[in-house]
Amino acid sequence: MAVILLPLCGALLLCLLPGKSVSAHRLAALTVTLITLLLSLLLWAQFLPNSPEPFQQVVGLAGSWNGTLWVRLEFGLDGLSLWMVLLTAFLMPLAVLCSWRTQKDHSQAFFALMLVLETCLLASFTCLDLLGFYVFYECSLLPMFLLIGLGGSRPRKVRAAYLLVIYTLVGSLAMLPCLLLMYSQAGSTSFLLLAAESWAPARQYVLWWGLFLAFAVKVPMVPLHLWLPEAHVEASTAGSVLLAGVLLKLGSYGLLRFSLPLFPEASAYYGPLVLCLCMIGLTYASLTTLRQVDLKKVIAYSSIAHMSMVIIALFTLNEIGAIGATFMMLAHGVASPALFLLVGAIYDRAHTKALKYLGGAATAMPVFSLMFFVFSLCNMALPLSPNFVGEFLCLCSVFAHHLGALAAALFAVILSAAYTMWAYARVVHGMPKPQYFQALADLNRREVWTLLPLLGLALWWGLKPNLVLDQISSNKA
Amino acid sequence: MVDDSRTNNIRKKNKSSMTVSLGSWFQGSTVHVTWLFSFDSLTACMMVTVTAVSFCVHLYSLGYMQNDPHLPRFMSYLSLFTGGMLVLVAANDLVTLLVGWELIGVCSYLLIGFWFHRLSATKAAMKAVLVNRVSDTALLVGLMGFWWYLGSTDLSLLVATSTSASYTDFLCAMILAGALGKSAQIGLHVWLADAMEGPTPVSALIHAATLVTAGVYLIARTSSVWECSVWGRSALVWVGALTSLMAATMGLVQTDLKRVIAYSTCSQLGYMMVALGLSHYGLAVYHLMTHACFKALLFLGAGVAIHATADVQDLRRQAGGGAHQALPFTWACLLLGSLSLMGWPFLAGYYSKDGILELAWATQGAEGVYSHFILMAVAAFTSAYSFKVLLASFVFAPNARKLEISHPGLPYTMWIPLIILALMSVLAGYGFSDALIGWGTSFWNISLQGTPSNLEAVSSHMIPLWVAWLPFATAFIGLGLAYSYAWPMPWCAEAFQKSLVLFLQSRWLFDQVWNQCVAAPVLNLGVYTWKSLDKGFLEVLGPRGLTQAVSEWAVPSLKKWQSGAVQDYALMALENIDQGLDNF
Repeated sequence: MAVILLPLCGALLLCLLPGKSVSAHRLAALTVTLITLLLSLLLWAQFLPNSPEPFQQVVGLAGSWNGTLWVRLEFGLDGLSLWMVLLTAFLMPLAVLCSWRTQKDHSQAFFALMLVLETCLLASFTCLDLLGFYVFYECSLLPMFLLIGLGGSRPRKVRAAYLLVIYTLVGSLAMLPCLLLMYSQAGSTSFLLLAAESWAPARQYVLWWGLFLAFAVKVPMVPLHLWLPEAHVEASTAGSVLLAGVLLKLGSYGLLRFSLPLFPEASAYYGPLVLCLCMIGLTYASLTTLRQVDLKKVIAYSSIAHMSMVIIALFTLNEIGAIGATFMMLAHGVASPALFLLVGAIYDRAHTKALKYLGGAATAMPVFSLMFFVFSLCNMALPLSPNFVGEFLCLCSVFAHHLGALAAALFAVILSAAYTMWAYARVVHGMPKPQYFQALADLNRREVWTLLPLLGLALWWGLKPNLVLDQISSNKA
Repeated sequence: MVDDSRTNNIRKKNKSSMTVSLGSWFQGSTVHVTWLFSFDSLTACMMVTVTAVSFCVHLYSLGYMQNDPHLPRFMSYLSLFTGGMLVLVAANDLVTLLVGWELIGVCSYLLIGFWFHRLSATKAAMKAVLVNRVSDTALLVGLMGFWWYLGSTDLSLLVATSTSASYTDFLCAMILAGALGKSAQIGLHVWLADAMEGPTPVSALIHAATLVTAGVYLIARTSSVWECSVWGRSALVWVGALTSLMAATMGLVQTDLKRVIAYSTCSQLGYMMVALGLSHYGLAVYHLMTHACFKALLFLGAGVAIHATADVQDLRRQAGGGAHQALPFTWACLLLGSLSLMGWPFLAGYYSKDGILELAWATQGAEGVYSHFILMAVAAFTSAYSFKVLLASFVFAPNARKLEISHPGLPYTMWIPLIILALMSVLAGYGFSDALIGWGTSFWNISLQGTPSNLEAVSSHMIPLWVAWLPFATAFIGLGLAYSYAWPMPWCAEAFQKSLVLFLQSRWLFDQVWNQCVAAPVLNLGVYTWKSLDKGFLEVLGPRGLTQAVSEWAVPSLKKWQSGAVQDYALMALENIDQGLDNF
């Protein structure tokens, strides 16, 4: 598939470019990501909404080693992966744009790594082979590690990068033996073959844990979430955008794609446990968000809360839940990156993210304030925002499933307004602090153009989400 | 785009209403939400009220805010609000109704916090959002209840609810919880008085005439569910009467001009709730309409008075004395609005408010007696605080400094709306009363389900004369109260009165309870989860523990090399060089 390989080629091209010319690097990166976006739109155009095949546009690679170990890589699309691919391809140019000026010293490496990351993400969203998914999933870790290392500004970034890698790696290590076990029974790691295989319940109960641990770290679910706020705070804006927008979705995508269809009995069996974890996580993350003093951490912790909501909806194991959770993943993939872009914008000016020092943005930065307000409303799931559609569907599924979980979810819904509006008011209302009088200038043209596509997407998905909802649900039927 | 056969059925049955479908909003599995708008008598009443008051306030703002550099922003917020309100009253699907419901909430935030430099405005705006979020979340559960039990959130399916259904109590409880916040009923009323931080036209439009009546409207709109729930209706009566009493007593001791009017709004909303609870939905909507007229008049008039006295809102410092000579027109408007609010005969408030009192008198059972008794007391309090405001700001000897002495001069954009509203405060009562709450009126058609049983409808129209005149008598009781208990208040020194006044001045301690018993524990829990769990327990079990384990146990021998002293490192370097040379 050209879409997947294109960013990789772009990365190679970037390495060949002369090392000093920053503008050439960023222009090349932007062009490559834009072409990828165009190609992914082409994929969308060729996508058949009601195809009898579970996956479309399948491309395969096969190889054998000594005729014994067969590895077959297949890439294909269904409604879920199509929209994940589109989201990834859509966010990438924006991530390039937002690091237009900030990356000077290591621009070549930085943009090349972003393109490598895009390849890994696109590949893992389309890969129809569990082993292949595992490989790409792990591969995405490496560029992210380096991106945090390159993008951050404080010595603590090293710790953040290590946290990210160690947490995810430990989670994935639980997945690997399960993968081998599955291979030994089914003789293949192809998703379709694995899904056709009938797994004994006892074996499901074991295998389920392997996948769940890996994905729970990535989501992240609460006891395993420590890496996320650290990574967000230390990463550059582009890193945060990709982390919140796409990388977190890998976890919930994995649960939805692999855990639930492969091990239905185990998912039902462990469902109450997951619900309980999520209820704790939701309450916990919402309460913790209330007390953050760093703007990026506020959004990071609220991401944890929102992703917990996604997981609750997934594990209600009904159709509304699956649709709602998928849509909420997409909605969060718009609102949260937009907020990170805005935080990045204000950080570029004031060089601080501490709420204590910010304030009075409305005086000098009206466009920024408007954008911040709109996306804050999205984050607190106001009607007409895509998050509302997702959250309403999620809450409906939870309502139908378990009232205790509903109570926790509603508590989080109330608190989401509290922390979002609090952060908004701290940044936008009040008088500007004297030390930042000089610094606060409104969004420039590049920043506005970075945000406008997200705003358009939020409006589209908030007002008329049916197209997306239909395509998401088409593959569940 | 008039849609499908069901719509046509409705139109056939009832010529006065129509439904418009603008297509599907979103659907996933069994959740279908459609952009349905229906226009019937109830919607028409609300729309007339909203657009009329909104027009007056728009016009008034041009004058009132003419020196504000952010006038365009202000006007656009006002218009956005009006749009949201129209969506709310026209929506025929509960989820699209929620769109309007939340939209006006957002506008309320924006308008209360319009002067964003002010900390108090920002706080008040946040408070409004948070309090409303609590009740909106309950309403959200109610919507899911509709979806779950009735299979759809389409309001035209509500008539399908059966009287024996077990879920109606649940639905009513959730709708009531939703209305508590928006309509500032007891418990969740705390945001309304603080909302007076916003500019005065905002208070007139949002926090008197329209937004706060959204809860009343919602209950009237879902009347067919309420008719199935006895429990729900008596809850309405209890909540409404209590709110009314509470707000009126708070209004008695307020010293801020706008806050007095705000508490009066809260108290009148209680009247509407009682009317709803006594199943006379038409009467509640009628009181909503007349209240919108005279309350908007009061607020806009108060705005003129505030402007004229260099933005002093404190009644103890207001001009008084000659103010009724300096501002004769404003004085007349405020007097008219207050009289209408008190229910002076043949003004607008008389028809609707006395109607509610008479209905309460005519209703059999505990709710009737209870609400009649309380509302009658509230009527006296209403008259007391209204007169107190009038006396303090226009009649009594002035306490103001020279700067604050009122000066005349009013742009025409400000007095035209006042005249319109004053006329409406006079005419809206007589003009609409027969159509809206007349004996056997067919105005409401099917838009409102419940009408009181025949017996009560008759008996509320045929009551003894002394009952009918009782509310009028309360106006004079109130005048007496206001005159004898206005400032200075030497009687406050008595221990009992002092504690009573303090209790009322601290607003029945609701704010303290919310802050100390709800907000503070939540925030403290946040500290706990953040400090003790996130940065404590999980960190020790996770990264920090691991780092320490590695550095303490796995490689302890290396640690003592890292002494931090330069001479040690130098020595080590020398050693190494020595070794290297030796190996050479």
